[in-house]
Amino acid sequence: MSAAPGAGAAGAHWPGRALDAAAGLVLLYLFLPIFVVVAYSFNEPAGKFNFVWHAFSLDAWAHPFRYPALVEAMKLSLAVAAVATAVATVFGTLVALALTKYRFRGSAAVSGLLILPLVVPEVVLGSSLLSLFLQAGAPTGFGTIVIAHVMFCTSYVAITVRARLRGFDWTLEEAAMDLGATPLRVALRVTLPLIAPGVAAAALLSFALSLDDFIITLFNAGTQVTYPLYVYGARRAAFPPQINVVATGILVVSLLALGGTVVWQRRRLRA
Amino acid sequence: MTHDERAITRRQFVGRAALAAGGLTLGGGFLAACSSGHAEASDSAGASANTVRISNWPLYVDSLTPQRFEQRTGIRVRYTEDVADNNAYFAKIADPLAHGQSIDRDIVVLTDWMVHRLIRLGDCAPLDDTLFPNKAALVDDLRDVAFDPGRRYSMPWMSGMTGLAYDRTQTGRDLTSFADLLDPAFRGRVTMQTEMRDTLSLIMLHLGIAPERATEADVAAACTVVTTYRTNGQIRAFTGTDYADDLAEGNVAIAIGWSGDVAGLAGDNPNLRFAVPSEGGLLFSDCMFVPVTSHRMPQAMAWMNYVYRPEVSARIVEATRYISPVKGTAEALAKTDPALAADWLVNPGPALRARLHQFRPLSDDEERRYTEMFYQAMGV
Amino acid sequence: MSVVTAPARAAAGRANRRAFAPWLLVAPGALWLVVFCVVPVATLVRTSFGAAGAAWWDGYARAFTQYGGHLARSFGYSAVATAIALALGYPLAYVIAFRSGRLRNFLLGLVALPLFVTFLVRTFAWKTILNDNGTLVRILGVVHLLPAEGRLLDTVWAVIGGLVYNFLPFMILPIYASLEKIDGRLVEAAQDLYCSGRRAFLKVVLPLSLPGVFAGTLLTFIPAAGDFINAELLGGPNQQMIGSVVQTRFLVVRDYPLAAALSIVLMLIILAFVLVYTRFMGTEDLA
Repeated sequence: MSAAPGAGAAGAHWPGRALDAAAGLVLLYLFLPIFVVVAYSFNEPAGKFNFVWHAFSLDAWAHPFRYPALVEAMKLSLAVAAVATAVATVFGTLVALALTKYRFRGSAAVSGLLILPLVVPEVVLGSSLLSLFLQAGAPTGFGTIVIAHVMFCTSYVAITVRARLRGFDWTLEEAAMDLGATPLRVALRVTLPLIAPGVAAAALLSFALSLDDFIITLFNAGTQVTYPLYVYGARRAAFPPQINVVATGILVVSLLALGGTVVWQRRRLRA
Repeated sequence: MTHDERAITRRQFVGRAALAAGGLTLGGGFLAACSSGHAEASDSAGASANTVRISNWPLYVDSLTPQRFEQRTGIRVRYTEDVADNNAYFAKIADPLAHGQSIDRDIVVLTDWMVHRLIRLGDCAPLDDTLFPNKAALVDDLRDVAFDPGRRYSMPWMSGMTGLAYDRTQTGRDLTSFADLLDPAFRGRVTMQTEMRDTLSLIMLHLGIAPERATEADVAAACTVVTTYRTNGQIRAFTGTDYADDLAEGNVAIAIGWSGDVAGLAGDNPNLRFAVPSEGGLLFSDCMFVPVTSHRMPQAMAWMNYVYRPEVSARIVEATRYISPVKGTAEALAKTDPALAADWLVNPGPALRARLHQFRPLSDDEERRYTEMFYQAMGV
Repeated sequence: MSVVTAPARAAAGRANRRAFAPWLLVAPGALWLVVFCVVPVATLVRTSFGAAGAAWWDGYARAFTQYGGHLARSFGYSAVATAIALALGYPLAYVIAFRSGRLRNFLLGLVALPLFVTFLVRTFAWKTILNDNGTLVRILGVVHLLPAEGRLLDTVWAVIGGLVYNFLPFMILPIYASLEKIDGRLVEAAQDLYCSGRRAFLKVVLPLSLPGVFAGTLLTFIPAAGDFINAELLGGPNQQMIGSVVQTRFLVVRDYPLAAALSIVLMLIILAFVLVYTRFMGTEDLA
């Protein structure tokens, strides 16, 4: 087992420990608001706003679905994220493959195209998309939200996968085909498994971005309400702890999935 | 284990984990989409025309009213709390309505000045008074408003007062005048509203101008006051509804705020008070209107008629702490919650109501110009 | 005979397929982006020229004269936020890539996890944390890092802090991706040649991680420059960013030519920055 760089530096324990400590602090910084969000799901606000700690209570957890609009918003956000991620992962991976495997004349233009959703501020993307939908007479709603999300998610997926594919050994594909495999078999049995980690990371990113999106969705949601839109709106009259409960719920599910894969990894390594 | 072997094992595991995660994601999302799509399908199939689709602000109704209405009338209610902000909602519905497209709603609740804009644009259907006997229960001072004389197109959902919301422990005294908000003793601990009419009305009243007759020069003068106190650090922030949590957390001493918010906060912190300035305050209403593309006027009128029953309105007041526009609500409320019925925040007497003003209705052009001036004054 | 010609035939077949392959692969994604990103932006450019009763450049003139301050402020805030995010994110990415062993995927998951709590909810949590009467402000007051009547909310630092926090994962993950691909044997080789740990880092690891740094800084700087939620929720009226101006001119004031011009100006400045930055970093591709 090769030594990790840095760990083997002669007698240099101090930089290593300091580095670990610094990294730990940053991680703590990343999680501080998350702790607060979780903690306040156990708050029983005396008024309608969940910003002042009043009393510990499991009431919000006992009745997480008390606000049906919140539940509907969450379901909508998940549905949009699932569909958008599925489509964007396919589109984005295909583009990334094309850009890294081949040299073709449009590649610089396509590269530039990918950057566009990142360079254009979300406010601009959102409002210009809305005007496009209206001119086309398309009613805004689930479909337009998904269209908008696929647009920027494809960009992120393509860029992420492309970064991962740098230095990829494409001769493996040629070797497989020389051994008689059809292009389809090569794609499924050789290419896909090897690029899967990069694609998975990109899909994860896309899902998170879609769940999180507020500004572009604000312009293109029509009368639909996603979870971020609900949170922004609930500020008007009240901010119930159920919002914290939902946020914590998502977190717990994600943590379980993460823990599950770690356990799986241990099992695989042992096997 | 060599580096490569370890690498492949890691790749394989991540690949499978990704597949699992992807499967969960897609499965979950698919289920969610299925269930909400299912609900949509059964809605449009089963409900057909006998449904009323309502858009309202979040948490602006009690939990019983929609289902009681369904039991009573047999009309299904599809109640969505998707009004987050007047301007954002307007941006969503303006163009579809202009092209005569349905916005999938039969009743929408927006603040009075925005409803006025929609009336100007011809997006509101005239209400069918023959189906609305309880319309007579509307309080007198909201009957003949300047932006909708005779209430042909809109009816108030709930009203509220705009005034000074403050923390007694921070101010050390009860506030009486708008000048208190400009007091240097509270530098950096004061907030104003991003709602142009709320802020400018109070300032104009303080300057001795009646908002009902404000001219462009008056608006400019009020905006200058805003700029002055923003740049000298008096105003800590311009808030929408989030002044409420600033007050609750003690970040702010005085805010231009709304009566219902303070009534809601008082449970958490009895030191939070509300004052209508001696110069005068503002009475605002969030109003229901029927979009012109709705084609379900009977159902919409049934809803309006139902919520204009005093006992129903009393229930809503109990849940939201705003002011009911329905006569007889105070009496109905006194039966279930006498303390609340006596609360002047929820039940302002005629003397107080006489001190409340309304901003004059603006034309499209004026609105655009004044809003731009106000936003520049706010530093945006 | 067939053994010799089969590979040749296969190669010829591949060459034919190869001519079409990239276009087929690129088509779905590229078409989507053209229709739903390029076309709308083009429409926006047209809108920016349409000021009623004024010259075509009116919107742009007002953008610079009336809102130049906001533009400068936005780019200033996002530059500082990006620098801080880089300083915070690089060590964490490094530790995860090289020093975390079996915890690596778990730590990566932890970095991505905050993204699963809505951006708005996370930012509201900062309002609680930075609360005037909260623990943090109290501690800073006791330690005299903050003046007695001082506050953290509605200040420049709250806004920048919010920007740093919200975009930190977008800095860490690309840097990690770059670092992770570095072959440990290269560093071993450097050390075998009597390099100290620090030199090995500066000469081997850092240059190889630059693509990740490049991606991370762009993925942080660009959205931060256009963001308005952090400034709205955490900042005061003298800290508002250009994103707020654009949004309000679109939704509230409905002055579309001005709003469109502001958007285009914002976009062009970012584009110019990206081009200069790309040149400076020496990478040929933009992604």
